[in-house]
Order: sequence, then C-alpha cells, then structure tokens
Amino acid sequence: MPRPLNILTGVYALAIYGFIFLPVAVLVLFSFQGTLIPVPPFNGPSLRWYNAVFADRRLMAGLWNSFLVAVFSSALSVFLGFLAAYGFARFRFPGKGPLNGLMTAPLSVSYLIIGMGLLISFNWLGVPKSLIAAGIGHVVINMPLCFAILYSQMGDHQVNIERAARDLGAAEWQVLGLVTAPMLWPALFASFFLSVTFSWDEFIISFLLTRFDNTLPVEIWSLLRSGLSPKTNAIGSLVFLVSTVLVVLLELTLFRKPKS
Amino acid sequence: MTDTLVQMSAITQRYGSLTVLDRVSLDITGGEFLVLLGPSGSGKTTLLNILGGFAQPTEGRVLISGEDVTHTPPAKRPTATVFQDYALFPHMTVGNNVGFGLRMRGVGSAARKVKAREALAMVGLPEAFGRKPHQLSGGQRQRVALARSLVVEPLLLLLDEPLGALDLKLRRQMQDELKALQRRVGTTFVHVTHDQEEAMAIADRIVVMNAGRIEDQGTPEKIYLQPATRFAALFMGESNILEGRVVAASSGRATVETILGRMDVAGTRDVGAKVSLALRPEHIQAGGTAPAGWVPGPEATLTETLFLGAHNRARIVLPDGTLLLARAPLSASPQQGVHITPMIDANRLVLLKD
Repeated sequence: MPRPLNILTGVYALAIYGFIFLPVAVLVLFSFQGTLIPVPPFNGPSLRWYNAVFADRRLMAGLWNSFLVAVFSSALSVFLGFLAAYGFARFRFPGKGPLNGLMTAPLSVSYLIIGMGLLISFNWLGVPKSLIAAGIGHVVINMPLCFAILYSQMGDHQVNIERAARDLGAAEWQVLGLVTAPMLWPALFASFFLSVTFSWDEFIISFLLTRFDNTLPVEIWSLLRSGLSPKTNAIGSLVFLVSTVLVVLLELTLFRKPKS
Repeated sequence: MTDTLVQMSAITQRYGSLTVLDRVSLDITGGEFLVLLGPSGSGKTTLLNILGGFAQPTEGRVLISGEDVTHTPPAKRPTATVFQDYALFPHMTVGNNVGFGLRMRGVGSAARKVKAREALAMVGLPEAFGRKPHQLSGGQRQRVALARSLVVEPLLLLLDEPLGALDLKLRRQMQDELKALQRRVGTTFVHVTHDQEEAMAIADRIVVMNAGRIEDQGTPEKIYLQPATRFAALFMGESNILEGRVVAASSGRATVETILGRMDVAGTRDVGAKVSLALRPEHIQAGGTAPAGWVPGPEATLTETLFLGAHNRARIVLPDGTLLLARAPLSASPQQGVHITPMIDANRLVLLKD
C-alpha cells in the first residue's frame, strides 16, 4: 500500500475517534479547571469543582435519587422481562406472534412520546409526579429491552433441563428460581446493568414525571440554565465515569463468549 | 416383583390430524427391563413421555401400581426420566445435581450429600461429586444423569435414547453397565432406542413399535427368531420375506407353496390364503456343506459376496428373479456368477401375520 494513502487512513481514523471522544475529553479536562469558566486556557488541574459538587446538597440528593430509581426500576424490569420471556419461550397461546411484537414495540417509540403519554395517564389516574412515577417510566422503557435480551437467551436446550427439574419434584416456582434463572445468570446480570445504564442518564421522562425530588440529569439540566460552570463539567464527568463502569461490566457479562 | 406395575390401556395420541399413537395397550411388569424399539416417528418417545407425565394422551389411561396417573404431573409420579441430552443442571456441581430430587423432597443437606455420594459410587463416579457437568465426558454425564434419577428411588426409570449421543464403543460398554445396574437395583427400566443391537443386548422384553402401533413384543430371542410381522422381521436384523399360498392346513400347521418349494410351517391359516414367510439369511446357505436336516432349494445364481469376518454375506438370485440374502461359508471362497443349490433350514421359517 502506498504511504500517502496510509497516512490518509490514519488521519481519517483519528478524525472519527476525535469527533466521538473530543467533546467528552474536553468536558472531563475542564472539570479540573481552576478558574470560574470552563473555557481555554486551562488552569489546573484543580479539584475545587469536585469539592463543590460533593458539597452541593441538591446534586448529592439527585445522585442518590438517580441511584434509587435506576436500581429499583431495573430490578423490576428484569423481573417482569424474565417472567414474560419465560412465558413466550415455553408456552403456546393464541396471538403469541403479535403479542411478542407488542412486547418489544416500545423500544421504537421515542422517550418523549412515552414520557408525555405517562404524564397524561398519571394525571388522569391522579398519580402525583414523583420518583416512583419516573421509576415506572423507566420500567416502561427498559422492560422491553430486558425481555428481548432474556428471550433471545432462552433456548430449547434448556427445556429438557427444566423438565428434569419438574420430573425430580420441583414446583414451577422452584424450576424458575433454582434452574431457569441461574442458567440465565449472565443474561439477567447484563440486562440489569444495561437497564441501569439507560435509567442512569435518562432525562426527558424523569424531567416530565418528577417534581420535588429529581434525578441527577434533571438537576444538571437546571444547573445548566444558570450558565456554564466547571461544576457542571465535574458532575458530568462523574456521570460519565459511572456509565463507563457499567458498560465495562456489561462487556464482561453479555458480550463475553460463554464457556461451553 | 412379578406383579404388573404399569397398565397402559388404549392410548391414543393425536396432534391435529396426525395420529402418533393408535390405541396402544401395554403392561409392564415390576423389575423388568423393557425396551421400546422402533424407527423415528414410531411413537416410542411419545409413549415414554406419556409414562413420564410430560404428555397427556388424547385417549386412554395410564395406571401405575393400580393408581390412575393419566393426568398426574411428572413431579407427582413415581417415575424418573433420564433424558437423551442428559439435561444436567449446568450451574450446579455434580453432587448438587444428584441431590436435587432429594432436596425437592425436603431431605436435609447432610443426608443429601451422603445419598448423592452413594448414588455416584453406584454408577462408578465417586470422584465427580464436586465437579461441574461441563468438566465431564459424555459417558460420565450419562452416569450422573442415571444417579440423579435413581437416587429418588423411582418405581419406574424411563430412559429416552440415553446412549444415543455416545460413540459406538462407549455405547456398547454403557449397555452392559446399564443392564448390570438394573439387575443390581431391581428398578423397572423402560428404555427407548432405535438401535436393535442395543435392544437385544439389554432387554428382558422388547416392544417393537411402528407408525404408532405395537408390531411385536417378547424376549429378544422370540422377536428375532419368531417375529410376528413383516416389520418386526425386517427391523430386527436382516430377513428374507417369501410370498406364498397355503396349499394344505392341519391342526396348527400349514403347508405353504413358495418359490423355495413346499414348506411346512407352524400357524393356522385357511387353504388358499396368501401368506408371507420370513427367513433369516443365516438359515440359507449358499455353497459348502449344510448342517444335517437342511433342505435344498431351487438352483440359484450367486451375484455378490461380502466378507464380514465371521462369515460371508451373499446375495443369490432365484430363476424367477427373486433376490435372497444368504450366508456363504468362509472356506468355500465362493465365485460370483456361479450356479449353486442353496440349502435351507426350513424349521426356521416363520409365518407372518401380514
């Protein structure tokens, strides 16, 4: 291959990765800014804005709220998705095809539409705006995802294993709890962390469905309304760090080749 | 232990317009090793599933120890199944696999361990207790599956082509072990296979199935030497089928005119009836000296011989074009194309039902 073309492909690759990661790199870099505005020149590194973040009660409350919403909504999504996947994988019933399609259909609906729909429905039902409402919203978006992942992992080769358990005297809940779920452990783990990742930085549904207690993305949004500050960079970097950890965990579970 | 353990009466299984089992009735005696033998699609596995409770028959009843279990779920039946793919719990150790049935019965952890170790020792795998199923070979997994089913002390052990996934040598070895194990524990075994050699090696009684019906049943010797039907004769090893007509009949004997001449066989048929006779290749000798009492057939042409070690397998063609499988002695070194007079052991002719 001629040398100029080699250089060109290198530059192109660099441009692509730069395009993707430069904004994040800039965000993280200026979270260590020592002065008041997160623009060049860079004065630092300094941890003063991280101190400010950890001293900010509202942000810390938002962090905790986000954590609660993410963990509980994800656990519920995995639980419901698992039961639904088991039903679709193991039983025959009328309308199975269309119902299966309906299960995963919300994946293609925008979060804005889902959020507005829930807002109107909750209004009509008299459910107040709250973290619980936002959590239900996150179950709506994450349950289809958990269902799709778990359904894809429930193969016919597990059918005989479940039959063996029943044959040896296991009741249905024992089959699910002692055999089916443990066999699907990597997929359960992966769908949980994928749900947590999506719930963690979800903004629009939380924005529409919360009022007094807010999740972190909503808090960051209200912080941004008062202009740029390295403090938003610092909290943004923290959010990014958590997301990265979750993605790495996912890589190690869902996308790892099974042993046998 | 010679009482009837299982009574299956008029079992019919339909899936839509497909009839998988057609009024099958079968009794199983306590302590016997029963083999359901048949080609794929014969209904043998469906019958086993109905016994195990994994399928409910469209019609008919299943009684185990006199109790109607037709609609009883597998968990509540005194049966245990060994699956073709072993179906071990992949996330549990071998010890926990074997102890699972006891755990479901509320047996405490310590007692479970003792019993699981005993069961593993019984199948010759005491060292596998702490391992995971994926660390074992196919034959070892098979033994673990056996131990897991036997540890709950079922009245009836159901085996669904348990040796199907093993290579030939291991399969023959496991056959012997399975038979020895059954003798030792005395549990009634119902074993499904399509391998007639396997069936002959292990069965006390073979039930030959085809197209949802029982074709024949009896000891391996009976099925081989006295097959009831054309299907049974052809499925259990090789056989020649001769068409003929009854020319004389008297108290339990019939004289049948066949291409090999007039043959006297056991069986009651009307004079003039068209019948079929079965004759094994080893009862037709092409060339060499035949044992005393064998009768000569019509002159035939030897078209093919195949060396099979203990003997030569031969094909001969009769003057009317009928092709027969026969044996040729190794010493005769038969030439293809030569004319011979085949010798026939007429006592071995079997009058078939169809």
